[in-house]
Amino acid sequence: MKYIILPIEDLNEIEWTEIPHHSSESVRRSINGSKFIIKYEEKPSFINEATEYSHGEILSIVSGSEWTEEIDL
Amino acid sequence: MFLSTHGIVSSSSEVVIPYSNTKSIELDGVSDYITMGDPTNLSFGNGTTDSPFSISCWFKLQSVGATKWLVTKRLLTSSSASKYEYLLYVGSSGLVGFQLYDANGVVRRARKTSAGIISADTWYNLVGTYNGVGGTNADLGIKIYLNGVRVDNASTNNNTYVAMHNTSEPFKIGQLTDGNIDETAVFSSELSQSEVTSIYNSGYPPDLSSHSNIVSWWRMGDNDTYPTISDNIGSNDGTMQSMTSSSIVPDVPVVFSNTKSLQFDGVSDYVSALAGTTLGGSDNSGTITLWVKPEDLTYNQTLVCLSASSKTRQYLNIGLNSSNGFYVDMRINSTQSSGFFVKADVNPFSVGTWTHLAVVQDGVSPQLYVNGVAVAQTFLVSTNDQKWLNDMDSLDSLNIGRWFNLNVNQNFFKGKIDEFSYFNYDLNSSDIADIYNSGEPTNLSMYSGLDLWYRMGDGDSHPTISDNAGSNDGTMNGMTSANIVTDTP
Repeated sequence: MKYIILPIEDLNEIEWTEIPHHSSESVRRSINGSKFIIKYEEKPSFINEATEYSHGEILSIVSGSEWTEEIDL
Repeated sequence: MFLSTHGIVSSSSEVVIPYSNTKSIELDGVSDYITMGDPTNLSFGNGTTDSPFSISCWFKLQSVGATKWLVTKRLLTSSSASKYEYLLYVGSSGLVGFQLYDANGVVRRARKTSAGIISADTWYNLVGTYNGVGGTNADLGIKIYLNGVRVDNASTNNNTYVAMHNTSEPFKIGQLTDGNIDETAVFSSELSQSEVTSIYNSGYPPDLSSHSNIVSWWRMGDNDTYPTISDNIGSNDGTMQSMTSSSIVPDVPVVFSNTKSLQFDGVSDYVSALAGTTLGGSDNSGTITLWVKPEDLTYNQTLVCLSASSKTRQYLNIGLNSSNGFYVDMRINSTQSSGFFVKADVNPFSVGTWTHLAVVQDGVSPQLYVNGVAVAQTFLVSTNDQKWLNDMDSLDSLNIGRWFNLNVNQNFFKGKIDEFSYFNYDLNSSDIADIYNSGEPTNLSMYSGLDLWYRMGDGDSHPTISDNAGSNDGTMNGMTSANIVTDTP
């Protein structure tokens, strides 16, 4: 599975039937809402250029403050 | 106590023929039933005193909504109470009941019933037992077990019960029952809990041929030739009424199995479902259970989040992290003191190991369980320990595998989760131990108050995760059918 990060402006360009996410409401967004993540086995037709990340790479990315907020427990 | 095989000795050599159950009887709920006539050894009272007896049967209903007379020795109509002895049944609300009659011209009844716990299209083992005590407290001598678990919770007598009479009414199986009945037996003793557990046999009807005090055992299709239903113990053969040979069908109780779980990637995978405000029930008690197999313990992850998604910091989070291990974080507003934060003193998790978790809120204070045992725990916040789901303003969201609340969408879990359940009351420690079942997930369908039960792969088809307790199905998000994996506790 490959992961890509897209700007939120692209959310309306997604062809949801080509990826295992169902709608704009179900994707993971960055803390400030400016980006979102999708994943796929085979590159969807609507993707031209984007940096693909492996599972391990994306895990490292989302552990950062851009994607995970430190919230008191 | 029970044999898994049935030894048959031939003249030339000893041949062991495996016991098998491949058939049941399908009834129409209208005119179909099986009658065994009126054998003396299927009556258990003489009008003055009762003797102990028990009945076991397996059944699967096509519908719930009218009373199903699974096993009875009672006249169908109410015109003559002189032909009433006993009745094992499913009531219109889905309750199960076992009642005795003193046929003294008026209906004198001793009865135990359960809550409404029966669903259509599910096989159950129902056992009614009676200790033969008789008299005005005869109802207290009755017990009812469903799938090996005692379920009677209501008891009534009307008029003054003394004892059953040995009437001329035939013994019948399946009257008014639309569905299937299998492996039915009568015993001349009050079965014990251990005997009932053995008869349930984890969902697989066992060979009863060597059971003590068994009077009759009808295989209900196996070894039978239409229209006769043979008694495999005694001579109380039955006759199929208004049925054909096609009423003997290859539909039998299915062994409970758990072969699937869900894999979460720790990035964007989760299961979501609506969580209506009724999920919390009418009081602040409840129980959550699940199995987890983490693959990373280095960051904070949410296993289950029940939240008022549009409200700031209204949630119940069950999670794991490197510092607190297994924890529950409950709050109903932006201040932590609005709820509680409790963690297990010993971190129960290790990468690649299945662990069973339970959180029980009794309305006073939560208790954490690990692998069936209540564990030592510490409250980091203990201001409002009694808080629970119904304390939220508008509980609406259940997420498995992520933390989801207003402006919060993170802590995605990396690993596997299996057999998630929510009960609308506080299970006791014995129940939790039974659900843990020495490390092997078990059938939860016989438990009352089960509001949600996600098998997490078993019986599911991507992207739907079926609610086996009701109709509140979940949805796999960011996941494919490949996330349903064959890795289970």
